[in-house]
Amino acid sequence: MAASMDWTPVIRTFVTTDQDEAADAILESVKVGTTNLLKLVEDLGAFLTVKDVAQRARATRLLAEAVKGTPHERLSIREAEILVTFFCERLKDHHFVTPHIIKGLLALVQYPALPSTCLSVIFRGIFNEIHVQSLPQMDRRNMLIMVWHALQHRLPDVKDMQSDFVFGFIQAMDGEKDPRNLVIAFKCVVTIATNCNLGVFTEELFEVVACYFPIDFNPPPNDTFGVTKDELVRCLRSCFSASATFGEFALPLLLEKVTSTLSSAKIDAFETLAACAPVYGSAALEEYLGSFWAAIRREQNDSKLSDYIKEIFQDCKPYLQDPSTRLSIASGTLLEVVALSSRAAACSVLELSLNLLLQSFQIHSSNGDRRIILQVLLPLMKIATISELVGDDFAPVRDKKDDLLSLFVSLFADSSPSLRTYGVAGVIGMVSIKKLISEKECYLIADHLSNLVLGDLDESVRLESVRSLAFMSTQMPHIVLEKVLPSLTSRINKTGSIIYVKVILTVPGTLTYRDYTVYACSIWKIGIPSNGFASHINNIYLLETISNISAHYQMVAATIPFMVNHLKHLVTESSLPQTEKFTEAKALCNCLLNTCNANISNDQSLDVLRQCLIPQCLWLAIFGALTPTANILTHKDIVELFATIIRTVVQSLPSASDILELVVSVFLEHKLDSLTALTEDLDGTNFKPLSVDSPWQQTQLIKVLTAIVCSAPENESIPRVEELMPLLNKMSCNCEHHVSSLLAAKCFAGIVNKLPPGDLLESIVSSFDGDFEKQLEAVTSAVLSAQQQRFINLWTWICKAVILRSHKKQIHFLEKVLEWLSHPSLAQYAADAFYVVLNEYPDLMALSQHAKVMFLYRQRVFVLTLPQLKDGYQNASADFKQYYLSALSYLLRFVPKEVLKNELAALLPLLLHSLRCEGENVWLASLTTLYDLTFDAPDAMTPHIDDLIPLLMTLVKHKTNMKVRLLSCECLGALTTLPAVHLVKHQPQVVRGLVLTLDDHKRLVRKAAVTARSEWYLL
Amino acid sequence: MGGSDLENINPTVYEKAKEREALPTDDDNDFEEEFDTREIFDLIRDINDPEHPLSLEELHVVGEDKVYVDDKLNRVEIQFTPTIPHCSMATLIGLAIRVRLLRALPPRFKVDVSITPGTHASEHAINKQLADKERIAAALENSHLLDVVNQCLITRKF
Repeated sequence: MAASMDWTPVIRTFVTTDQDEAADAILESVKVGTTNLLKLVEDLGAFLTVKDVAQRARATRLLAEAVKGTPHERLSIREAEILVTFFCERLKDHHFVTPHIIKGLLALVQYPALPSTCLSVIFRGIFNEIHVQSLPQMDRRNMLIMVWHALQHRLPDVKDMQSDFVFGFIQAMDGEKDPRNLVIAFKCVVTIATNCNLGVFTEELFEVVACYFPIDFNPPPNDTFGVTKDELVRCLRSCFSASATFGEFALPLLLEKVTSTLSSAKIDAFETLAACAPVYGSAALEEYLGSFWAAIRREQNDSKLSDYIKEIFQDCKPYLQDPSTRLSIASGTLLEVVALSSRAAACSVLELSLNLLLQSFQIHSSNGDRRIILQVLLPLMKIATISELVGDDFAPVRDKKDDLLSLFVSLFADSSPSLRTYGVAGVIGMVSIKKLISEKECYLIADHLSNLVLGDLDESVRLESVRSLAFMSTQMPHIVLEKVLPSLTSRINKTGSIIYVKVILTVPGTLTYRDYTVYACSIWKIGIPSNGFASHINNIYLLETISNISAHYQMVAATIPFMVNHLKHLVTESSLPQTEKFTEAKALCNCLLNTCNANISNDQSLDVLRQCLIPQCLWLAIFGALTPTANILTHKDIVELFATIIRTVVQSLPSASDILELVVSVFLEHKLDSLTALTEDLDGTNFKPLSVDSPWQQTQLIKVLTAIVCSAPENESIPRVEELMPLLNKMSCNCEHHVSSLLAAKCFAGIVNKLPPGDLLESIVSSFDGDFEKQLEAVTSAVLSAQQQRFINLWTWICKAVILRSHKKQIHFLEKVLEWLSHPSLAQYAADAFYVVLNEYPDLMALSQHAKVMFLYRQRVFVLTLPQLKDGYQNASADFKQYYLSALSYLLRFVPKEVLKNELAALLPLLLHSLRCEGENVWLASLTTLYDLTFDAPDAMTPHIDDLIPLLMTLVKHKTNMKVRLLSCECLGALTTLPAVHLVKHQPQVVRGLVLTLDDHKRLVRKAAVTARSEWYLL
Repeated sequence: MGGSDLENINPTVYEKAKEREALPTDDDNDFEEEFDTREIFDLIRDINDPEHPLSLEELHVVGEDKVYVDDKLNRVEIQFTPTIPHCSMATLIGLAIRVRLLRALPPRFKVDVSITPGTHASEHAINKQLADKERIAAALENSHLLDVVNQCLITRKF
């Protein structure tokens, strides 16, 4: 029968190893009753007393869990008594064992039939033997639950223990800091105080909870326990009001807190007083009534505060009235700080000072004085925008609204640009105060601001006005749309016809591009350009302004179609000379990009950009490639900008599946139906961007493809990728147009980096296994064929892709690159490959494009390649040393300097040596690294000062490359941060040697030389 | 002037000029650039005032309009304006400007440093001192004085 089963072997496994599941069988058997607890104790036998603490703890744990798992009806009173005695005897055991004992006792306390003598033994034991506050949080919690359970279910027995229990509990919870435990402890205190005779311990019990008053607790961010400040405050308050006997101790404490400087403490104290007063009764309160009343009155009118502020204001007044004292701004700052302290203070300060400042502005007429007054006034007004402090309707500013507004508006016509700027800042400051400026006034303000944008001759005034309009468009886009946009767009110089459409002033959720265009045209109500433009007004300025004020999705929905249409118009119909066309087109693309960057963080704007801008950019790029007359769209800068715009939007999208579908179908099918459905007609039969024979205008658009497929969200799969990859591979190896082949290689690698793990990825990566030798077997001459160069590029970029995602083939790819270093025609490519692998490119395989970038990948490359690079360098012939050095320099430049610390002693001599070899590129890399190291690892640099200085002194004379001279000067300057003891002996040499460089024909070099030489003089 | 008392307790502080604008030719090794007034001004504008934690530019002691340079004729002339007509620091400021240019300009330039006419009580005496090469050399032999000058020239760029 199971009852006679011998558990010893199982127990041994559980006790001597970490296999928690070993005990499952025993616990199950105890639960169903086939094994009884005493039998288990017998089986556990020696383990419960074994010398090894860890084993003893595990044995105790098993027993405690068994007790916990035993249904109450199966536990006899005798067993319970034995177990209680057993556990209590062990309370003094090692701190490894105590937690399990507490768990066991907790289970026993919850046993309803437990004799009252046992209960008393347990609590006396715990309170006497254990220092509760030195236990971990979980065990303290178990202990408190034990107390709470006893108070709930065994109150009469607890009462019998009298003051022993109370005192024991006070000691146990004294000093508790964990909010989760405190909630339980406070509940216990309430029950104890209501039910037990506290006797001499009344004050102690009160003190043990009073020290938490007032509660100051903020749950940590991402807290999962759900204890809130409110809950703690409530529990503590019910402790205070639990017993009338607390009155004499609580009232003085509350009185002290109602006069606190912290308003939260004050509020808590008053609320607690309200909760306690009925409990404590009038007799207890009588003594304190007077004092509480005084405190309440003080709260009501705060007369002291206002006296104090008046005093401060009186001291500041003379300075505010007379700006020439030069203390006005300091006084203003003082008042500002005072006002920030509370609503009452803000009220008094603004009431007093606004009036005064308005008056002194009228008295003083010099620009300097007025400027100072405005410098005081504007920050004070800003206080009214802090609605948490002053609320929504702030009287002091509202009362002076008209005066302030007319003052600021009058400044628009001032002759001083800086006063006009203050006027703009003041007006927009008022607009940003909630509920202050009416809609009608906003229209007027927008009108004024657009006049300044168009007509002011000072750049900073225009800039401030544009910034203000951008702010207005975030708050009230309809006003900017109606008032400002038309006056900007109507001035844009174009010869094409203008469509007038009836006004629709809402933007429904999903619209097609055509709807947006209709909507956009409708709100401009484009008029006839007026004459007499200021000289700065040209198309580019207007377009930039339009882009800068597009700060709301309704604005974006109107301005993007306008800019896109203007671009179409520009390339197809405009009669401007080619260079001007190009400049404007480029500026337009930059404006589009600028609008994207400013709006991608807003979901609604992002949606507009995705629906309305991406298909258009794609269309324009393809249109340019297919239409010889639109050839400015094929300029590399424009294509680059299209790609950047698309990437900026796509990488921010939560899902890009529709765009991926669209672009892949357009690039694979030679049909543009899916695109033209969203935009305009275009015959795409000749569009074959992934065909080796296509013209470069088409193949370079792989950049646009890359911008989409390599920037989509991480979980998004690329449609028809198995068709795409072979084409890209072919393009990268065979396309004669160098730029396109490189673009294809980058796109290919970007996809390799993003592909989900699986067969496709493995087959692509391993398809390169034999390829390498095959492609390069013919490389014997010093010059690579174009095809081989393309292959090397592809290899380099895939190498980066697999290293970033830490694919197991990374070592294979990296080893090949290391092999190239000793190959006459490949060595330079290998060194460059290190740069490609380690450098971060903003447009490909960056984290922002959701690329798979494993943590610490640079460190990994460092560890994988450093030994071979060092060996290789040592053994290489003189011709090859430079390639090893440049690879090393790139490593040093990109790898965090902390990682290098240990290796630096060995590497620095190599760097120094590189400065002796030929090769400007190697010098530049080494000099940059040395410059950084001087700051990052001064200790390692110091021993090399004597060798380095003569080398640098030679390089500052290097005629043919100014970068070398510049960097050497900067290095010399940086060296002065090292300990002067090591430098002083070189001072004469450096100071003399740099004289010639002071007369360098390049200004930047002269400047660096001056800086370095001055520092050396000052040693 | 006794103890730590400042002569001009509350000087007017002016805005600094913006950094020189970068041009595309800046990085072209084959494009030669002459010394111009802005470059000379950039050399002296960061010199610290001996009394205040401010630069000579911020106090309008030096200004680009008071700099004259002729690269071909190897001439540089600087005029500086003491903040008050009795400023006893004027000589020290002049000396600091001189030393700065001595260290920062190629030796081919002949440098004149003088006080803006009509802005200082003992203008002529100070101008004479600043023009006297031997007196300048002698002043720099004095290690205490050199320390004071160096204090004015410290502009930590790192």
